[in-house]
Amino acid sequence: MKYYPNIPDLNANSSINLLLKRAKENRTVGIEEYETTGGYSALRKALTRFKPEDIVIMVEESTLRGRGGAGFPTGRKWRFALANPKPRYLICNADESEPGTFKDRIIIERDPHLLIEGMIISGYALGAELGFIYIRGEYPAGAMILEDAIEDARKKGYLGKNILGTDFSFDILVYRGAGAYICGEETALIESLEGKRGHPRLRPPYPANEGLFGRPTVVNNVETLANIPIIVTYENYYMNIGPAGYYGPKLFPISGKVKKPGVYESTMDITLRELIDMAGGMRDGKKFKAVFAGSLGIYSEKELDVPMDYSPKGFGGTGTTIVLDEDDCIIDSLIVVAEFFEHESCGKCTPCRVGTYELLNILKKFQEGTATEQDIKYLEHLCENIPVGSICGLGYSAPNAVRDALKKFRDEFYMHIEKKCPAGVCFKS
Amino acid sequence: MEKVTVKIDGIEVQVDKGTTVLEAAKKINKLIPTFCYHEKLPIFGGCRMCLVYDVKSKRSIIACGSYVYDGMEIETENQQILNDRKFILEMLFTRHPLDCPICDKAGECDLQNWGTYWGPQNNVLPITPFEKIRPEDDWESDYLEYVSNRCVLCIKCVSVCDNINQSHSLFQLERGFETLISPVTKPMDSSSCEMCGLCVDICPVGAILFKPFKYNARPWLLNETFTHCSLCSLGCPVVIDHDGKKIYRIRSTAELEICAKPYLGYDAYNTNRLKNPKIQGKDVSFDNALEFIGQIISQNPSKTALVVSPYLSNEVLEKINKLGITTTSIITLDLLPLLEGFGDYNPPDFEEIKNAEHYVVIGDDITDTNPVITYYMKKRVVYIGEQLGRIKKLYPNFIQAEGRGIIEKLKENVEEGSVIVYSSYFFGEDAKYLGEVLRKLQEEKNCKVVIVPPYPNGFGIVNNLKRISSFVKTLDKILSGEIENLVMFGEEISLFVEEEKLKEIFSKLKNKVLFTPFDDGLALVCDVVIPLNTWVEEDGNYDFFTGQKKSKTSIKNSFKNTEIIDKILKHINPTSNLIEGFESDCTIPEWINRFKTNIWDASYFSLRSENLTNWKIKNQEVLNER
Repeated sequence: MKYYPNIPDLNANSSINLLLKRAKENRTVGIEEYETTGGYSALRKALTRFKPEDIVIMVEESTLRGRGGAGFPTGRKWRFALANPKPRYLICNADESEPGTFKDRIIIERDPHLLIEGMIISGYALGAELGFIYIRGEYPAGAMILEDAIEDARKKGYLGKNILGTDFSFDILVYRGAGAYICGEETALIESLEGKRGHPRLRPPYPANEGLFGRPTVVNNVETLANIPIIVTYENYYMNIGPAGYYGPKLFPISGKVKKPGVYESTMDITLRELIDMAGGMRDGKKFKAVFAGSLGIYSEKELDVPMDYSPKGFGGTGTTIVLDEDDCIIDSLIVVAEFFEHESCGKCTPCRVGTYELLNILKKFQEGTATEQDIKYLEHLCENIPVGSICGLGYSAPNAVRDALKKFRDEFYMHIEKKCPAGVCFKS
Repeated sequence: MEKVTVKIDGIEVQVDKGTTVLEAAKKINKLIPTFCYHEKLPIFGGCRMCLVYDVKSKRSIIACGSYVYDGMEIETENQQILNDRKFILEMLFTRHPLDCPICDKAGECDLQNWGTYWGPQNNVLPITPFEKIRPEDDWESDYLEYVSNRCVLCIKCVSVCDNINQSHSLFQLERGFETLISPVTKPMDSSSCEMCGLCVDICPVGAILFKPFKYNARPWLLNETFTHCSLCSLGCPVVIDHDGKKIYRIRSTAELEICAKPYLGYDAYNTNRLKNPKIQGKDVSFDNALEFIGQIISQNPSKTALVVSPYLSNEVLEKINKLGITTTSIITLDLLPLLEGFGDYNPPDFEEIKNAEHYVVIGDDITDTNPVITYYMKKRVVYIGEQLGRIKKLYPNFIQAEGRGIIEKLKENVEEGSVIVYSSYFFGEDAKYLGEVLRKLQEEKNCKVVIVPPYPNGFGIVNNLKRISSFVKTLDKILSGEIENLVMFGEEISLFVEEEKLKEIFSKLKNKVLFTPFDDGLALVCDVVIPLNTWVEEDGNYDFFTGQKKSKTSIKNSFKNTEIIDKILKHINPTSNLIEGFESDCTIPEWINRFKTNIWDASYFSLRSENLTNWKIKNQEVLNER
C-alpha cells in the first residue's frame, strides 16, 4: 500500500453505517474494495436508469441540506445553477478549517471514492463536465489520496470521456489551498481557484449565476456530495433515515474532554447529550461545562437536550462539538476562538478586519487581569455591530461565541475582572 | 435603455437599469461617504462606509456595489445608517495614529473629513493612537513612502496600479489586520513601478506619501490650478499645486490620467529658470533686448531663420507667423512628412480608441513616450519594433523589426478594424512612406490610425504656421553662409543635432538668439537670451491628439510669450515675400538624432528634473548590475 503522510488515527463510529460504512478503520479504501462493497453501483444506477432531472428531483425531495455549516437546501442550490446555461462547474469545498471540525477529512482520507462517486453523479445531474476539489493546504495526504483515487477511477472508466459507455463525460481536478480559512467561503474559494487573492466577492451575483470564470457554479461540501450516492442508492427509503424534514446521515466531529474524541455518524434526531454519550461521556469523570459549536456559539449545561438538526432551535452547522469540562476557562477558550478569527479574517471589510482584532485584544485584557466592567460593554458593542457591515459569513459568525458567552457565562467575566479564574487557568503566575 | 425609478430619502430619481445606488444618489447630490470606491475602478466594496438602508428588504446594503431596481426605496440618513457609519469610522479610528499635525495628507484626508461629519465624537472603544500595531513596510524608494499604521486598506492603490496603470507594482502582503500594501519587487525605484503617483493621489488617508512633497507645504495653503499637462500630445487633465512662486506638486484629477513626466518632473519648473534677458551674458531690460532682436531681423530678413519648438502654444505660434521670416521646426523631420504621405489627418475620437479590441503599436515604445494612452489598452496588443521595453507590461504579441521592416510587418499584421498607434520613429522618406501605408490601411481595412507625437503641439505648428521650411536645408544654408542669424524659440535643437555639428553650425552664425525658460545649456553660448514662459506659466491652447485643450496659468510671470513677440513686431516691417506652404525633409543626414521624450530619455523639461534624472540613474545601476 502506498504511504501517505500525516494521517491521524481518529476514532470513528457509526450507528447507521452509511457515510462511515468503510471509514471506521484507519486505512484508505482502494477502488477494488470500494467496488466490492457496493461502490460505484449508485453511479451505474444513476447513469443507466435516471435522467439528470430525476436526480435533481430526488435530491430536492431528500431535503438534503448543505453540510458545510450554512445548511442551505442542496436541491434548491442546484436549481439556481440549472436555470443558467452550460457550461456549468461543480466545486467540492474540502477547505474545512473551522476550529474542531475534521469530519470531511475522514471521508477524504479513508473513503475518497465515496466523494468521487458523489461528484460524478452531481456532475451528471448538473450537466457539468468539470469538477474541482478545493482541498485545504493542511491536508497534504488528502490531496495525494484524492489524486491517486481519481487516477484509479479514470483507469476504470468512471471518470473521463463517455463514462460507463454513456455520452456523459466528467473529470475532476484537485486544487490545494494555501492555508486560508476564508477560502472555505464559496466566493473566496472561487477567487482563489481563479488564481486571485482569496477575498470574498460581493453578492449578488451569486455563484449559481456567475461563479468560476463567470460561469454558473455549484459549490458543495464534501459531506453533502458524499450523501448523493446514498440518496441515489436508497431513493425513497432515504426518507426513513432520521427525523422528518431532516433526513439522512450526519457526521459529528467531537473533540475536547470526552473519552473517545472522533467522528461519529448518526441520524439528526439525537440530542447533544446523547452525542456526548456516544463519544464515551466526560473524560475522568469531570463535570461538563460547555460545548463550543465551532464558530456558531456556545451551549451550556441547560441546553444539552438540543436536537442536532437544522431546525431554528437545533444545533445545525457543521455539527462540530468541542466539549469543555470544569477545568476549562471560558475566557481562555474564547481567546483561542478569537485568535483564530483575528488570524483568518481576510482584511477586505473594515468591521471584520478591525472588529476581530479588537475583540481579541479586549478578551486578552480579561486574562491579563486588566479588564474593567467597561470592557464588557465594549464586547457587547462589538458583538452587536461587527456582523452588520460584514461581507461574508466570517464576519457574521466571528462574534457569536463571545455573544453567547456573555449571555450564558456572564459571571465568569465578572470573576475575571476580580482576577479570579474559576477553572484556575488564568492568573497562574 | 430601460429606466427605473428609485426613491432616495423621499426624492424620486429616474436612472438607467444597472446603475448603482451610489451613482443614483450622486444624481440628486446626496453625499454618501466612501473610502474604497472610485468611479474608474472596479467595485471593491470592502470599506463598508457607504452603507445605506434598503426599506424593502429591511437591510443595510452597500451603495457602491448594489444595483437599483424599480421601486427601490433607500434611506441614507436614518438612525441605523448613522450608527453603522459611526461604527465603521470608530473601527478605523481605534488604531489610527492621531498624527494629523505631521501627516502630509491632513486637509485633504477622507478619514478626517468623514470623521468630522459622521464619526463618533467619543469612541466607544478606547483609542490607542501611540501604539505601533502593524509592522512597518519599507518600500525602499526615494519617492514613495508607506505608513502602515495610517492605512485603512481600501486597496484603491493596488487597484489603480493593476487596472489603470497596469504596471502591477503593488500587492497585499499578509492578511486581515496585519495586511500591508507592498511593492512586488524591492527596491521600488527600480521595479516595474512607473512613478505615475496615482497610488498617492488616490489614497484616502496619509498612508502612501510622495516624499519630495513631504514636509514642504500644507495642502490647504496651496493654490490649485486645474490645467492640462502639455508634455506630450495627449494633454491629460492635471492639477498643479503652487503658491504663486513655486510648484509643489502636479497631481492627477479624478480622471486618473498622469505619468511620471509631470508627476516626478514637476521640479523642472522650479530650478534654473531664466529670469532676465541677456545680451552677451549681461542682464538687460526686455525692451533693449527685443529692440536688438528686431534690428537683427529687419536689417537682413532673408538672412535670418527661425526655429520653433513644438512645446509652444497656438497663440505664440500664430504671432510667430506674423514675423514673416523663414521658419522651421523639427517636426519637418518626422510629423510633417508623415502627414504629407497620409493626407488629411483627423485624429479619431479618444473614447473610441479606449474601447478598441485590438491594437497594433509600431515604432517607438508608446508606454515610454505617451504612457497614458497605454492605460486604456486593455485588450489584445501587437507591438512591432526593435525591442520590448516598458511595453512588455501590456503583454503584447512582439514582432521584432527594424527600419522599413516595421512597415512591412505592419502590413502583414493588421486586421480588419485594428487601431494602429504610432508615436515617432521614422524620418523623412520613411515617414512619408509610412503615411501612405497608413492611409491605405485606414481605407482598405477600416483601421483607426492614431498618431500621437511625443511632443505636445506638433499638430499646432501644422495648423497655425502658414509656412515651414525644411529643417535640414535651413541648417545647410547656415553652413553655406546663406543664413547668418538664427532665432530659436525653445532650445531642443541641441538635443537633436549632434554636438560637433552644432558647434560647426554655431561657429558660422553671426547672431544666435535663444528664447528659453532655462538658464543653462544653449543659454550659456547664445548671444541674446530671452526668458520664455512654460505651459505652467502662461495660458495657451494646444492642438492635442485628443482635441484642442487649454493650459492655464499657475504661476504668473511679469512677461508673456505673446507680448514678447508683439514687441519684436513693433521693431520690424513684416515682409511676406516668402513662399507659402510646407517643406518637409526627405533625406536626413547622420548627425540628426531621433527625438526622444521617453520617461527616462526625456527632453527639454524632463531633462532638467532632478527627480527624473535620479530615478534614471538608479535604474541604470540596476541594469548594469544585471
